[in-house]
Amino acid sequence: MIIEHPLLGPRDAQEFVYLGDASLIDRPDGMAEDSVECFHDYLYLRSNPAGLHRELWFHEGGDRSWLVVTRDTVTHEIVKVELAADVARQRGRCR
Amino acid sequence: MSAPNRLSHRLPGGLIDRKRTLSFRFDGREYHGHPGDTLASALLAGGRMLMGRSFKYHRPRGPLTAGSEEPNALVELGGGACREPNARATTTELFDGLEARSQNRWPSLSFDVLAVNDLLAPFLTAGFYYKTFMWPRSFWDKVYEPAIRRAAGLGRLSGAADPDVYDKGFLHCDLLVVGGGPAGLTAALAAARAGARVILAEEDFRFGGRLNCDAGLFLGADQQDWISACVEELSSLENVRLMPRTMVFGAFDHGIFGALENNPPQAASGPRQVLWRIYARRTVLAAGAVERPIAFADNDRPGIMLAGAVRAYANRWAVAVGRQVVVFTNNDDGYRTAADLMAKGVEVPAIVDTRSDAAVDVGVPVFAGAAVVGTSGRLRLSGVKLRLSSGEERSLKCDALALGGGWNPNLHLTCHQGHRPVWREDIAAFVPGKAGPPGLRAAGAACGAFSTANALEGGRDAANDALEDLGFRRQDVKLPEAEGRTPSIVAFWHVRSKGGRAWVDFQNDVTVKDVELAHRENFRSVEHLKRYTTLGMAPDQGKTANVIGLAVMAELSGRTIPETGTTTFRPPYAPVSVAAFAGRSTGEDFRPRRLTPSHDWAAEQGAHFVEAGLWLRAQWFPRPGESHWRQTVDREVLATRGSVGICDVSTLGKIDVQGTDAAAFLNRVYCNGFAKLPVGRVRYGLMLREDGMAMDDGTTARLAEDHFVTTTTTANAVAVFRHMEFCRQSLWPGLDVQLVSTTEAWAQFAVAGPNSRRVLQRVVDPEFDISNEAFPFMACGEITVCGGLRARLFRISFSGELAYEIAVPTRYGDGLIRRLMEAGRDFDITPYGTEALGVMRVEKGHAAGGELNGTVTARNLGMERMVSAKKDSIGAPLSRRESLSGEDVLKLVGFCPLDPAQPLVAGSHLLPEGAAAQASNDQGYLTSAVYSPTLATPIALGFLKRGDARLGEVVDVANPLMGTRVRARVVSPHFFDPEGGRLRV
Amino acid sequence: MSDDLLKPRFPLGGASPFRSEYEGFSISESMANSFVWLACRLNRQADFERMAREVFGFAMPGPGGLARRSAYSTFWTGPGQWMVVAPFSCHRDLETLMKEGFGPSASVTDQTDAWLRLDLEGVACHTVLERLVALPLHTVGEGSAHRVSVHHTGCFLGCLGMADRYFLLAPRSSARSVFHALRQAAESVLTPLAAPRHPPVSGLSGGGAPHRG
Repeated sequence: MIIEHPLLGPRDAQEFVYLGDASLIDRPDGMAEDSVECFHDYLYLRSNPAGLHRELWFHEGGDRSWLVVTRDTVTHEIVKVELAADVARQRGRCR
Repeated sequence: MSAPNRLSHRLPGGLIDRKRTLSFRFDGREYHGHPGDTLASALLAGGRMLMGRSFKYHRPRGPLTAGSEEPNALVELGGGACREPNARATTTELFDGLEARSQNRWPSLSFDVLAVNDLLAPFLTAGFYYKTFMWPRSFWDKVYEPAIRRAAGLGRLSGAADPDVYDKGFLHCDLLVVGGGPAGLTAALAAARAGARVILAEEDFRFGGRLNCDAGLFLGADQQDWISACVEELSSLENVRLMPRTMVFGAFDHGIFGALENNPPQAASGPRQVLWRIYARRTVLAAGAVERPIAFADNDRPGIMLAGAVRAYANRWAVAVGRQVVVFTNNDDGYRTAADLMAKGVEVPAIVDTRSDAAVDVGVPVFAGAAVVGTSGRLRLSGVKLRLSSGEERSLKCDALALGGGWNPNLHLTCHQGHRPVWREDIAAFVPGKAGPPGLRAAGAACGAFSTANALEGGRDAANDALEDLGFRRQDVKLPEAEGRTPSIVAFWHVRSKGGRAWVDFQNDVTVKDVELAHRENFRSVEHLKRYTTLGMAPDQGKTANVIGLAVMAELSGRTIPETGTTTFRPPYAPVSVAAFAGRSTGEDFRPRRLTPSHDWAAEQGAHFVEAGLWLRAQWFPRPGESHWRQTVDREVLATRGSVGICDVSTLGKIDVQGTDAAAFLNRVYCNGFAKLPVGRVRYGLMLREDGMAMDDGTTARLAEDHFVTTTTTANAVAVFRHMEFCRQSLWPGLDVQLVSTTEAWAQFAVAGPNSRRVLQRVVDPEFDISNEAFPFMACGEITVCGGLRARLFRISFSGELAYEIAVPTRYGDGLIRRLMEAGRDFDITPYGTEALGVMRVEKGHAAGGELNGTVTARNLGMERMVSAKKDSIGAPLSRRESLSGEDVLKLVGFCPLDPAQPLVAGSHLLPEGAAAQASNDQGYLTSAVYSPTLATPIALGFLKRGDARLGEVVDVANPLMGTRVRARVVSPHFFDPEGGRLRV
Repeated sequence: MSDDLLKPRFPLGGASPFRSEYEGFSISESMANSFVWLACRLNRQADFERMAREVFGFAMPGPGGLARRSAYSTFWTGPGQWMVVAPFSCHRDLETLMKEGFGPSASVTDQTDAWLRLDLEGVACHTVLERLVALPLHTVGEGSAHRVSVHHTGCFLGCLGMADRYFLLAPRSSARSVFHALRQAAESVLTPLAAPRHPPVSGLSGGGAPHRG
């Protein structure tokens, strides 16, 4: 596969390491009352779509950016690639 | 000496260089050929038709084709370690001195004992093995399987290491053209002229495709002149890479292709093969088509060959495959073979055409509506039996039969990503469907455009469309005038007759009967048919067989071919040797090696090395007279605890953590607190995964308010860095923190033992006070050594002794260890390896790889109090899960055998004393076991249910694999100096 | 005791640099440079950019870029991160220089001894490199640098001339493996000009004691 890196352009997926669902960005508050339940859901509950899936890839053989790749799990078509840091900021993780 | 070719089958003309004669041997007999020949064409020219034995029935076989789809003519090439089995004679480029042997026969190709299988054929039908060798079960491994393997099969490997060299590489292009026939050449020309970067890959050693094999495809121009002009123009252009002998074997996601390039035979230099990874923005698949046979009784005799191949041997290689060649066809293409043969003076006794409306006035007797129903001749065809349209049977003498069953487009690459081909009734073939790999388009015969004119145009147009897509200008390539007739065909798959077997898959010996049997036993889906009969499962992947098998099944089940299904095509298109995939990564070069800064010094000391991930580390340093590694390791441990030892610890991961929020960041990554660590101090940190399991541990030193150096275990360095970058970028992008690995930049040595300070004081520059008061346990600082060389000093200890780790820029690592060895000579300073390091840490009860095995929590490790409840950190919430803190929780404890003569083995299971060794009694396991020279007893660490509450108890340490059972006492994991007094002196 | 013992070693293990020459291609080990990793601190971008122009006389290069002027060259290694290269002879302590130059706007880490630098020169550079790296070399012109994988090892490849001058930075511990891979690739396609000198062999066992049994 080729991942269109938002800064570096097309790069072979061999340069990347896969982690998993991009919802891992939404880490709950560990100090909250119900943190054990929240973390259970955060860590173990995943949807497994046949279709578009947002997932985390690390450009280990490149610029060490974590990316959020939106990929169709059926066709492998990649429709969007973002820097995970940008996504995290948009999701209000700059605290 | 060679026997003279009594009956040379050479014709005039052909694309061979008759000025040079090449000699070669087949089964020990000498033959001759010319540059341009393949092994098959040269053997045929020498009158040799019999080239192999079939897989299962050991039937005598000659070549069926003239290309890489060949199912029959598989031979062994070369000798010794270079022996290559299963080479197709039809694609093996001839060279002087070539040695080839037939395979799957004994004692000889013409007399093969196992041909008895052919007589047993009624019993050897599809599913035979599944049904027959079921009982007794114990016979399978020892009797049935070895016997079957001996009898069935292909060539044999040499068993020796492959002495050849294989390379890999990466290529990038705007347009990849697969196939160098008429369509491929015009596609490449258009793209080349537009200035695009073009790769033209051709499996054959000669460009031209069918233009080399068929006469009269061009109406005016000379076919060879046109090919030469194309190749000349393409090779003159910088933006074009011509790759003959290159087979594109797979189409992978997003325009990545695998290709195997063969070095010309007997090339003076270079690797034997290069496996290329080609990145193509657009691709034109111009791979042509493969002809298929017709199934009828005994259609596999040597001398029965595809009509297109017969033509190719005549036109390209100037070989008459027989003196009298009957043509059996269901389409117009067979007539071309007859015409070309007659033009070369070969007798064509008849054309047998299954179509009842076949043309009759072609200068040869044509039997319309007829079929071949049987053949004769054992090692070579001697005649055919026809059934005429009237029902009358007639025999014809002939020594070759040309079979024209229609053509299958070579559409494999269009299906490698799961797309399905579609059936076209008018040409009775599958063609690429509308949906296919993005950016890839088939042209010419590969998409069912069978006329030369269509191929030329199709290639050009496909390339132009791709160019336009990419922003290049379309090119008007002038095309030579060529024949434009699509041969008409009436699908005809197999001849019904009583008796005799009709082959569908020649390579795997699958007959029409086998397909019928599969149908009767309800294996009717294509995938079941394939697995039940092994249709299409041989190295040729059923290139000539699959469609016929499918058609027979369709007929039997009363469905159409598209209803019956299609075959699935997966890479590789044709076999690729494992050696090519391995490339250079073999033996010592299997993977890169990482060497420590003191590696050469350690090698000089005679160190024994061990692989730790990619690293090579000194495992121990034997001295003369030591005859067992244990002696060496015991000495190293005792010398370190008694005086001073030194060990290279540069392999530990080192991560520079900087920024105004560096402390806050570490506080979230480690489960214990880092916010209050003072500058100039070091702290042990435990890193958890988010699920609460221990991930890694190490020390972190604070060099400045906004600067930490964190260490990881050797094994986890890469994973920890990745994890920390994930935390930094994806979880907390609002923290001001920057990370960079400095593992490579520093050479770091542990100097441990009661005399370690005295040794270090001799190299540390005098302005730095490293006394216990000024530089206590867990202190760190930036210092200079040896008169001004910058260094870092950490007072940390893995051994449990007074110890330091000292780091200098890597280039000085070799110098520093030599300097320290000299400085410590009068203390008998002793280098120690990873084994002594391990013994000392077990004596101290420090967790390492064996304990941090991914399934243990801080609680299991006895470190639950480290998990701070006052802050949020990775893994802290889930480490508080109820399920992880039950009463029976495993706890890290130590073990000593009651009898010190009995060793403990890591991985052993812990059982209540006397309990049966079964899972229900399992109470834990040992993680690390060593012999402690300090305590003069074997010791071990392990996890035991409620271990911390069971100190003093005796348990059984069982190792069913080794058949041992040792009684051991549960003790504190801190075997040695539990109060840590030695650290702080 | 003598401090002569504290001699620097070249990354390939010698006391002097290694060099291999082929027809149209050469590989030369170099220890002539200091390297420093430079990262812009959060929310200090304006300061950082101003300092960069002051210190280097040019703006920091963008993704995949390499910029050079007088003694300094810098190349992009990641978002907000660069490698700074300067002659070792006159920039021995590049780390301190950069810390002083950038103040609190940057994090600075010495990387001088973290890398093996190989200079690759000659018309056959692409012929050799296409057997080692996945990068589309025709797009890697002067003024660009990329992280690449050579024999499974993360390296940096920078272009200093059109297609005939590159430098390759390989992690120091993997120096011999990467150098070996480069020489093998070169030997696949080119004729060596002189019998090469080989770095010390790194075998698994050097000692006499029997292996753990």
